[in-house]
Amino acid sequence: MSGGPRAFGALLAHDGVCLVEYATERTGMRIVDQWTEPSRSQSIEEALDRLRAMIDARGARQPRVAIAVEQFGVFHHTMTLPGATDDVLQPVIRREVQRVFGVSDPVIAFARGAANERREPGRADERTAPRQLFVAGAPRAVIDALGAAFRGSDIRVEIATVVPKTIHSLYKATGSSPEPTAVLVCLEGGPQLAFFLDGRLELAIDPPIALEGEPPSIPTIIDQFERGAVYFRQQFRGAQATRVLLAAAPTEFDALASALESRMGVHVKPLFAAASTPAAIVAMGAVLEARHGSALDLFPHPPTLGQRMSQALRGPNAVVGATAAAAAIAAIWAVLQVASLASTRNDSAKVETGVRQAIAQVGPSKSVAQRRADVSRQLEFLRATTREHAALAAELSSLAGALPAAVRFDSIAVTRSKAGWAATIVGEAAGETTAQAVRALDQFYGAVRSRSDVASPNLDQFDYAAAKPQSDTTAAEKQAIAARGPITLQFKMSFTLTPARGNAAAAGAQP
Amino acid sequence: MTLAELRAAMTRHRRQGFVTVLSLVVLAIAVTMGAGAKRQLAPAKITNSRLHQSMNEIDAFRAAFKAAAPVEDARLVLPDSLDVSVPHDLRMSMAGQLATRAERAGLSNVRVRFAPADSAAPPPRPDFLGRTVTVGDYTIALDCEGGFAALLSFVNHVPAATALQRIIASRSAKGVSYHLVFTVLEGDASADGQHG
Repeated sequence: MSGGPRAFGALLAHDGVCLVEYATERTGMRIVDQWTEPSRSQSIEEALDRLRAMIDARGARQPRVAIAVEQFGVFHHTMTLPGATDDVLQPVIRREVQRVFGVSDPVIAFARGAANERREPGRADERTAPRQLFVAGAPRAVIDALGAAFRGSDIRVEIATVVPKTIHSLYKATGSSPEPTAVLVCLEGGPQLAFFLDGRLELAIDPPIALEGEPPSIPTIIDQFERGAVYFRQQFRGAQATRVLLAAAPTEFDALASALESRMGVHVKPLFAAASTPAAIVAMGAVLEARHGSALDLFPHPPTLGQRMSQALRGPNAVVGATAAAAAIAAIWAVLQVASLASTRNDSAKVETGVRQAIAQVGPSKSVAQRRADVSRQLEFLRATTREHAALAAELSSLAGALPAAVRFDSIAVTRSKAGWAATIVGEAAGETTAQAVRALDQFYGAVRSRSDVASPNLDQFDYAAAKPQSDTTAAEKQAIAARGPITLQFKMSFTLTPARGNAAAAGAQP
Repeated sequence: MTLAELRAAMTRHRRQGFVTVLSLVVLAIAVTMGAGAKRQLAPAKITNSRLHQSMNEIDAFRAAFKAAAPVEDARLVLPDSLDVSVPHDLRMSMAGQLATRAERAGLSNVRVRFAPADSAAPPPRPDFLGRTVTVGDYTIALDCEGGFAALLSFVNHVPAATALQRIIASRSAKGVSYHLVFTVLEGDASADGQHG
């Protein structure tokens, strides 16, 4: 046996309660044991009490159980409707059930079977194709009793289904042969008969009302079968079941099988050889149905979390849910914002206090540091000033040194500018001939232009000096003319000296 | 949906209506409070950041500062001759210094006078933490005669509190005359302690 919770199948009926314990193995399911409580129950509550007592007697922890319910007003119906959603089908099925079974407020459940597309291929549509529906229903009180019986217990009900659907599951377990087949299950309450055509459940016939405590005899069962076969033939264009899958008590199986074969001309096979009684077979059918993809389930399962959420977000509850969620999110956001603001303010207050105290503590150190920095900057400024003056003196000295003998300055003006020092030279160049004088001036101009520390050199003015009357010429001038030559050119030259500007680069210096 | 339909719906779903109204009230209060807090949060964070930055600067200063003996700190004063500014009251003294240095450099016929501010570019000035140095609103003009070498020697010995702005050298029959213009860097008297 597997280590998981123990699993059971059960048949719940007026005439008795049957419980089957099974184990799931790699090759399928194996019946472990089975128990029958043959006492007649007066109500569904009484039958459920018996079932619970039987399960409790097994001492299983958190057992699983699949239940098939017979009688107690439970009914089954098959119908074919166009494909549609549950919301559309539900009211249609409800009205049909109320009309057919005369129950005013039934609890219904339905499961979809195979599609029965009869339209031409061009018009066929899987979504709207007529589809077989298996419908189960019961009075609301019965379903309420089912739910109440297991509420609060550790028993997990997998399914509460009807006997014809368990027969359907059993039939599918045999291979769903397309051969027209009848399934006959001889329960204590009477024979349950189902007809299958092309593997589909086409007809399910409940047993006739029988007297209390009187199990149906073989002739009664044969008659019931014969009437069912006739009806099946009439309804389905002469279809005739050639095979019967039989579930009957071991004591009457052979007699019933031979009677069916001889009278109806069919061949009979056991429906489920592993179980000894029809009730146990139906119980296992409920187990198989529980594993079906679209099981027919009447049990009022408590809604799952997803279903609760879905319910809560429908209609007026959707508005409530949306506004409540928005309010909750806004409240959380507001709390976070307020908390963040309070935290920031508290932190600021602490840091501000710390800064005030620290400023008071470092005050003397700050003035010392400031004095040190000022002394350092003063020294640097002094060095830079000295460098600047030395550089200017060196430039002027160098300029004077580059002066040819034939050129002399009349004036030099040097003025501080943003780019350095703006210099203007006014002077004379002399020679024996004009060519010599011009050559001397050009030599000087070329020397100035070639200096790397001179920018924007320009010869602003260039002219011959007016010859003085001989009588006005002084002796010194006469001597100079004799030395330098008679031709004199007056010129004005401007340029910018750009020596290293010490102060501009000095640390902390301001323009 | 009309008002009557809404009223009917509210009557039909009384509990849902109450919860919805309550949620809307909570939503409004939360949005108002949250938005107000968010509005104040941005400036509060900036202030907080500045305070932390100040604290970090103070911590960095504390870590970098090395205290000296009080006597050593008291000695941390440069002599008057190395000062880079002069109070306005002592401008005559500065003019005297310039004339003296010019004569010592070998220049003759030195004449000093005060003149309005010069149009040349202002000289660089030092940027101190504890005091302010400005360019004076006057200049000192110095006229003299002599050799070019003497002029260059003078230029090399100009006091640091003055800045040479202009040199004009002119040749005449008597020799070479010079005209120099100096700006003066001024500091307040209290800071220039050495000028007392």
